[in-house]
Amino acid sequence: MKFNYRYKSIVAAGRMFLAGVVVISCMQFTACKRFLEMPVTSDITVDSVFASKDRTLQFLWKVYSTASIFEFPYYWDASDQAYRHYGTYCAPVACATDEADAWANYAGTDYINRGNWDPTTVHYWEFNSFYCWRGIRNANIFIENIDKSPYSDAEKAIMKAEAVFLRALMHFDLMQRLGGIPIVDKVLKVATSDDIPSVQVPRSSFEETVNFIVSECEAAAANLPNSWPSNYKGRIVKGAALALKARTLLYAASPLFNSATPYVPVADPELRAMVGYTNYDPSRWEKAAAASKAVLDWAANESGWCGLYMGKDNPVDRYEEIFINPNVNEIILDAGTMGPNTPNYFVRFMTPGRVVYTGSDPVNIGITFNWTKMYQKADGTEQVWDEVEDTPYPYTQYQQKLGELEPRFQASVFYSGTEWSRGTGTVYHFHEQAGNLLTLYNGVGFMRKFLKGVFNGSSPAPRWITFRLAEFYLNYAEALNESNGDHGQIEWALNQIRQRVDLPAITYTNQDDMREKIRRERNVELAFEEHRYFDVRRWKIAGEEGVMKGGMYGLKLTAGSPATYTLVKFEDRVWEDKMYLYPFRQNEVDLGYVKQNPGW
Amino acid sequence: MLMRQTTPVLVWMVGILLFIASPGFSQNITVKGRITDGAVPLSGVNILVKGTTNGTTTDVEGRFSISAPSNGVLVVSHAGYTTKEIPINGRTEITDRLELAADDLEDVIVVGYGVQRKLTSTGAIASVKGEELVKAPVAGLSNALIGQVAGLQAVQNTGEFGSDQATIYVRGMATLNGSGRNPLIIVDGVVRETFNNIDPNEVESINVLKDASATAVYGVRGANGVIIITTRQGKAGKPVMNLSSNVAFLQPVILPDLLPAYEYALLRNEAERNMGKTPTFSEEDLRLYQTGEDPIFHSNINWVDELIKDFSTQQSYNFNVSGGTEKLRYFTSLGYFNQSGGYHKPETSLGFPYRHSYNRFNIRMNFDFNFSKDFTMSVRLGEQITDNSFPNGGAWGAFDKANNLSPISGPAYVDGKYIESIRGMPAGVPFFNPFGMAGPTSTNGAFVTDQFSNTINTNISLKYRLDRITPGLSIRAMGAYDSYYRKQAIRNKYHDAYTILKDPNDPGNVIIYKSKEAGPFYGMSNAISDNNKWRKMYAEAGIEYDRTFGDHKVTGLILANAEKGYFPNLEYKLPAAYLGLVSRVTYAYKSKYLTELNMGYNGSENFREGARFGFFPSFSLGYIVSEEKFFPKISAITFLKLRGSYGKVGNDKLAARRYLYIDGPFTVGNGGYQATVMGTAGLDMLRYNMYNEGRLGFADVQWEIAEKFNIGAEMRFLNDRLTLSGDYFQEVRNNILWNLSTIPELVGMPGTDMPPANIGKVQNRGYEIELGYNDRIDNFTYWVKGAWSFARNRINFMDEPNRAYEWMRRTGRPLNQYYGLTFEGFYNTWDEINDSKRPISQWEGAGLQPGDMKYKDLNGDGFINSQDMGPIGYSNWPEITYSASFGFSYKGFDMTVLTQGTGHVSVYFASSAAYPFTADWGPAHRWNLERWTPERYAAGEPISFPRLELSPGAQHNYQVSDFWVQNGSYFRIKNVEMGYRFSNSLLANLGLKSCRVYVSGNNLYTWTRMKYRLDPDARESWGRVMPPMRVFNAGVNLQF
Repeated sequence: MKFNYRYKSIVAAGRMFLAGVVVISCMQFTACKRFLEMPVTSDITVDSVFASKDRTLQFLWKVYSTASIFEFPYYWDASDQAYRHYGTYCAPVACATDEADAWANYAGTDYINRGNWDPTTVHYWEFNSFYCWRGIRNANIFIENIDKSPYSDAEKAIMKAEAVFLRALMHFDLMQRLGGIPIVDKVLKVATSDDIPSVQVPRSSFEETVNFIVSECEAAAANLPNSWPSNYKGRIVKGAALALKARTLLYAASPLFNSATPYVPVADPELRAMVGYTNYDPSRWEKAAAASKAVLDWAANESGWCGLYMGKDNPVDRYEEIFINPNVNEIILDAGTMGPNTPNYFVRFMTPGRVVYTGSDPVNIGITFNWTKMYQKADGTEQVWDEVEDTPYPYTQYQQKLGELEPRFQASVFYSGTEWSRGTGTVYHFHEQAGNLLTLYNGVGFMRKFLKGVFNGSSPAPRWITFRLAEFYLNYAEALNESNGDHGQIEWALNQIRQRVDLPAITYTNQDDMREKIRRERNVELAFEEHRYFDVRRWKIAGEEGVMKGGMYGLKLTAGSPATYTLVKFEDRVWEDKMYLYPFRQNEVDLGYVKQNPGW
Repeated sequence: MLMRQTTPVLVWMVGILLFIASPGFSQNITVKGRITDGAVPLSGVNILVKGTTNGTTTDVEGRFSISAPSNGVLVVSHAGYTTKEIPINGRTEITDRLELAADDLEDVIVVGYGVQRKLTSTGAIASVKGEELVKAPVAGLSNALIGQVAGLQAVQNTGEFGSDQATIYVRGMATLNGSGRNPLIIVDGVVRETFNNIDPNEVESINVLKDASATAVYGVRGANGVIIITTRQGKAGKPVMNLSSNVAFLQPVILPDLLPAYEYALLRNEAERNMGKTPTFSEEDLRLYQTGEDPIFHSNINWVDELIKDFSTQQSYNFNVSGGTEKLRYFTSLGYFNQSGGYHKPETSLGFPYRHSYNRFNIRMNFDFNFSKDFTMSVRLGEQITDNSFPNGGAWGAFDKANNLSPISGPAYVDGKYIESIRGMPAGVPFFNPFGMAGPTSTNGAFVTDQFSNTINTNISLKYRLDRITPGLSIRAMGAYDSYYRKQAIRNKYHDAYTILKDPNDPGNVIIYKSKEAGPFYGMSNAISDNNKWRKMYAEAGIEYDRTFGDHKVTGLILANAEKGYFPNLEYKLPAAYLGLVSRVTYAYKSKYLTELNMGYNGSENFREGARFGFFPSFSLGYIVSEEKFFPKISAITFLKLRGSYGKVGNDKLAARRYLYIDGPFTVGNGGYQATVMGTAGLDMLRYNMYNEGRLGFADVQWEIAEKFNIGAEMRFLNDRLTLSGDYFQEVRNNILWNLSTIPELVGMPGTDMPPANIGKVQNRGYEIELGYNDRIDNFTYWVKGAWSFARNRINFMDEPNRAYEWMRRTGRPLNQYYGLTFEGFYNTWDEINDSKRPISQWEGAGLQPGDMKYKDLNGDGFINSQDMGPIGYSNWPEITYSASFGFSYKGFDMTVLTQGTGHVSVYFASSAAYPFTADWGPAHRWNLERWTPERYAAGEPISFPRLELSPGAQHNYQVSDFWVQNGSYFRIKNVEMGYRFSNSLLANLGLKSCRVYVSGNNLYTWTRMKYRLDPDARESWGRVMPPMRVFNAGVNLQF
């Protein structure tokens, strides 16, 4: 019975153990705060961001990165639509107008040209509005918290003005596509489902939207500096706020919005006020003219540095330099949002295959023949074109006629028989050269503007110019002409632009004739810079044959003796008037808080 | 490593020593006897001399022989029968009978934190005994459960060795959150991560708790039902040794039926003609495919056969010993399980020994100590070791290759040489060697994956009766520790590779040359990372009360518990912890009127302080009507019990990030593709880091709340021969944590960073019916059982945005409902295609042709697009599961048959599982022969497939529709076992108490309406899984 002794001691030990477990469990329960651990972390909260100067500034950089406009297509991933707001899918938006065409049929502009886009896909092909709202959220966080930061009041006022400007810029980006939009001027908070009604902000009228952007620009301009030290070049200056105000007012005064008749019939009066003003008011042109003049005056008198770029002896080089040298004094605002992997995508989407891009699937941006006709000859006279379709003309004539065009054409288009860049050798684009990716384009040649400095896959992508001074001469001329302003001022503004590229001056004739001349000058000067796509909308001419609708032409080169070129129509594009304004995304319309634009 | 492997051996040895140390017994007179149930002798009946450890069991003829004091008492007990005490009174010959007790008063079921008498339990609880589970010759416990329990649905998605565990839901699904539907697993009273690898021979019973009454004690973790596994414990008596041995063949039976080369080439030519292309294969090519005289350039290879073996083997062994004294009882078990050879090996040498195999070792040591009358201790030690070696990529890789290679793509080996390229195939047939650099499914030369895992489950529990203080009072405590370790290594081997081409000068001559020299490379990569090791600790302590006062029986329980799991990959690296209180009060009057109150109060660190703990009560009532005086005492109906329960249970598996109640941190980064660059180019331009806002928290995050209602009835008729029970249940799951999908984009945050909220609502209702009949005609005993369960859920709320049409809505429909177009036959003529009134399809591409599918234009707008996609079929989880089984025994023979099936379930197979010519050169399947062609249509032949196309995928015919979403219900002969138990005289010479030999089979035959030749349970939509295996097994069970 030895076992019994052993059992007794085990029993005793067991009882103690049991008691111990009970006691410990009870203790744990009372000490449950420690048992159920809270994460003790060194996490950065919104307060700790704005408690530090460095972090505050670093959050401002976040606002810059998410609320700037960078329209070069530069990142593409089938599974990631994160950056689609920036540029059309794989191509610049110019490929959706008469300016250019993307050869690759997967480019987003191809879907636009075929009319194959709608509220469920718009965010995929050209414009993901979510990313504007994300920028606005970051700006709002900054604006609501900057006062907590240890900066001086003067510094805070400047930084707040930067965020206010960027928030207005994003509202403008939405407005130019959608008309009146929801105005979001505070951080929208959702903690529970009860908050949802308060964050489903309805659309404002077009007029309210314009007024909001303009007043925000004015508020920002009051505090922004005229310039930044060299190491902060690229930050917002006062001129940018004036520029945004001027562009906004120009758009607002334009026929698409400044009209008693909307672009398509709208029955609902509330929606009518969202897609534009409900009347025509010539004073809007006057306001636009004054706002543009304010930009010119700021540059000339206040900025101390800003002016039309006049360097370089050769007018081709001079014009080119604006787009490849970020230090030129003409740039009021550009966006330097380049990621480290940018060049490969940028090069693939923007440059001609075999010349720069060495992969097998280039997008190849071609300049249309429609657009080529916009350019005058270098002496200011009109080129005479042979325009019989499908008829072979001598290749020598192709070289001669294109060669005669003015400097801005030479700087912008890489056509057969020219060099990509000085010293890189003459390149021909005959379509017989099978396997040579240089035949894979529609138009008269490849786009070269912005790209001349791009030599290979490791060249950095250029900075996207949001505002440059030349635009405001043209805005001024246009607004002044529409409001029947001073003829001498119209001539002056227009000729500043022409004289910079050594073109002869224009003299005032009459309002209609000047309208055409101003528009043509604007088209040529601002070609491919994402103006045309919106200009033809605000001018309400997108639906005209050969603009965003109907036949697009190119010149096809055939080798042989003699070599020839032929005018060919490569595409008939689809346009419907409802497209003057974009649709809101279906997801948002489904939520019921936003009125869809007419026709969609 | 060495320590980990030797530990179980040490434990085993300790067990053996304990077993040897068990005290012996003294000799008195020898009592012989026989135990029957009135007619049939009962074997395996426990005979114990009362008050001693002296015991024996009866043989197959019911006979026993035991030494006992002449004035002693024999305690005779047998599972399913009423235990009887027989005074010896000096007799040396005793014959007696045991009364059958289908619902014996002593019969208990395991419930949360305790056991209850089955008779007076009021919860919806289903039980299955270990001996039922042993019958299925399958790898894991989860598979053995298929068809065994009404209301428990188990779907085995794959037959791949080592990863073929079934997905198990109790009463279907009731939450939107796909990863939060699994039931809670309890093994020996402790929440465990898995149970699948436990040897069925170690299992005493599995109890499935279904209603709130049964699961409320688990509080915030009980809403999805609870599965309680109880391992075996020893009974006092002489050691009983059991050895069972099983050997089986496995057959992957439902494999894709691929077309051979000739028919493949014919169909491919046809597909090309349909697409306006020139057919690839000439008449000569077709002739060569048909004759097979050119096996290299005109091959005919079935890649499924090349990669997957027709038969593989399975073996399992178990040896267990149990017995003990009144002071110490033990059950020890050692098990081994092996599956081998599912894939063909490459023909070239690897340079290291390799066999595709899955090994599992199971060790179990369970001890129960009675230190004194009042003080008991139980020790449960379990260990599961797995060792799995398989070609890299496994079944996924093998079937991915087999489903994408055409029969004409040329041999992988010629004369034992590995071919990396064949040049000169007709019209550019691509060549691809699926054996990769070395193995069937390898990439980049990686070949063999070795996985080793070790799971240790331990717990020790103590119970102390405090009858001294007040009768019926006791206290108890338990501590448990689990440890898991896993290691994976990948071995690589490169070898020579050869290229085949036709001699350019003499095309009849075939050249084979070495195009790649093998490097001396032999590599080993160890993928050992933190997430392969974890440990978990658990402790509980409580007070129990159990007392009968006359007609009143009262029990009570209060228990506190705490758990901490150190899983290395948890966010914030803090362990996951639970604290809880459990309480149960039951009251029964005359064992007739029953009430029960169950409560769980528990919380976890995942919720905000102050809102961490939830209270989950349930209440149930039972009424045994047949105990009433007014109830007729007739044999037609002998028993009637009614019960009902209502309660609230929680589910904290939210699929959300941890500590959702706090906002995510602001993080700093360089912006990636969206940088900010400031400064003057060429001078001082810099890229700046920036702060990003973190994810938003949801301060009031809570668990899901299930409100459950259950009523049930249990009945017995015809002198207890016929049993019938049924349950009806209804559940509303509220508070489901779900993303708010009506947040506008204006907020400016990605949905993934927005806080979810407890907004979802799902209801789930259904019923279970079980029917049984058992009877005996002389020596012939037989039984029949049937079970039918139904569970239908519906999404009541999920914050769904407005959809354009009612049929596009998810709300109001079941979870996982399929949505797609409605197939309405084929366009048979050009007239139909050219009809201007026919709806235009969004996916027409170059235009439709005869042989394309007609879809229903649900909204009548003349277009077929995503707005015409409505609910089709059912969800991917069966609403109906049923089983029917029968068995008989006659003298030494016995047989059982289990059939089971599912209903109201849909399957969707796409791409390589369903379409021919995927990615241009994929294989074709036999059912593609019934494709639409003008000739076949004109001849009135059966047509079950649209016109053929190459690279199917985005085209009109391959949109999700009810043509592809098919009825996935099936009926299956799941399990058959036939055995023979040898007679006693034969065994006595061999020193055996009992010997039974048997043959069994699993997954023997399946009837399904699916057009695909795929297993309806193997639901990977591209067919990249090994189907559940058909098993032919033979085994022997020895007891001595």
